[in-house]
Amino acid sequence: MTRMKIEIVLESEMRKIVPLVLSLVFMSTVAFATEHQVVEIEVTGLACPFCAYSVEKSIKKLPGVNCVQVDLANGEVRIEMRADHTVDLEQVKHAILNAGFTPGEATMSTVDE
Amino acid sequence: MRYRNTLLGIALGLIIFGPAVGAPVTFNTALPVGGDEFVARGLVVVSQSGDGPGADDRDLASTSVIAVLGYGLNHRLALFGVLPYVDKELDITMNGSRVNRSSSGLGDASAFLRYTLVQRDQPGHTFRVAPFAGLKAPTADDNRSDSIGRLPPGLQSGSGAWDVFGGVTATYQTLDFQADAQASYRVRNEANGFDPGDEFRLDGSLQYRLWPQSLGDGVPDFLYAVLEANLVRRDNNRVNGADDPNSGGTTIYLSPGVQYVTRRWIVEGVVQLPVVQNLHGTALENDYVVRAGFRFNF
Repeated sequence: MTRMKIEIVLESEMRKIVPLVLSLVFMSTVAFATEHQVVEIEVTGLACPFCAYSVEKSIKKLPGVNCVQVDLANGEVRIEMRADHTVDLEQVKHAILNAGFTPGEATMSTVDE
Repeated sequence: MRYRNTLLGIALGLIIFGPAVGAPVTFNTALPVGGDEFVARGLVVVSQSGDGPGADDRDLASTSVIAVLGYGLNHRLALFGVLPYVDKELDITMNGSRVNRSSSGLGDASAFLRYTLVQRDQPGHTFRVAPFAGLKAPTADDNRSDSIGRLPPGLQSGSGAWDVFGGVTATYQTLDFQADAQASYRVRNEANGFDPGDEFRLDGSLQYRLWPQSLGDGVPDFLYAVLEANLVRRDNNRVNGADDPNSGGTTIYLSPGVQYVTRRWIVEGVVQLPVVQNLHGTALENDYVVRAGFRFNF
């Protein structure tokens, strides 16, 4: 009899606790979700791996740049910023020019992580 | 005196125009060095000459290890410094006996500036034209001797003189192939009574991507087949003010090779084969030149 009472109380408490825990997990997920700015920019004049690295390292010197990926075949560079930084497109274009190449059209977006 | 006629030209010709930054192996390119960026190159050049028509049966072997550092002052102007280490060995018959003479040590240092005058960029290809000009300083020893006496100018590590050189390079690069051409002139000045002839060069290079056959995402490594041609025209040397008839002339090289290009490294090698040697008098003919090296983008 006593054992049944204990099980009922536990079941009742679990019904309160589980939604609470789930809510906390959901809220923490939302709270810690990060947005990163991403720039995809056309670069003309790029035609070999050695040149691609020059562009990559020039852009990586910019503050807040997390990752640079060059797509040589399509002449595009994808720049992912750190969560706490916004991209300065003029700085990106200047970095490409400084590497010896020509920046083209750029698109900006944000991605969640 | 006869054997020194072409030796200096061979050694110095290898030093300046070989080690530049870019895709051709035997001369410059117009491709950029980024602003405030460094590019390094290391090169080993092995040259063998020994088919001279003279009775002294000359045989000259030289090995040069050349270090080059390129720095982008901005995206159009780049400064290059060149420092060679040269080992030379000459076997010659003198008075009926075989004699070996040799020297080794740091060669003369050079520096030159290159400016990108024309830059036409399109998706996946670029066309550039870049004039360049530089100086070779007499930083190396030019007064070495052995048991026979003072070494001839061609065997000295340095020339003892300031030289000036300049030219223009053009590059057309696509994702599939690259073509380069260069015209250059070098004024070689007198020192120690020896005035080596000036040098005029025309160079061409074609690099064709063998692998990968098609490009996917990202930046794959490239393997190029390389074919270069070099026309080298040297004036007669002058010794104590008089023309040396056994010096100077024209040589045309064909240079097949390979080049493996990654994002940060290039490894390359060519063999320069003299297909035409129209040399004056008994000037020493070249058998072959082998060039192998790497480039590093850091």
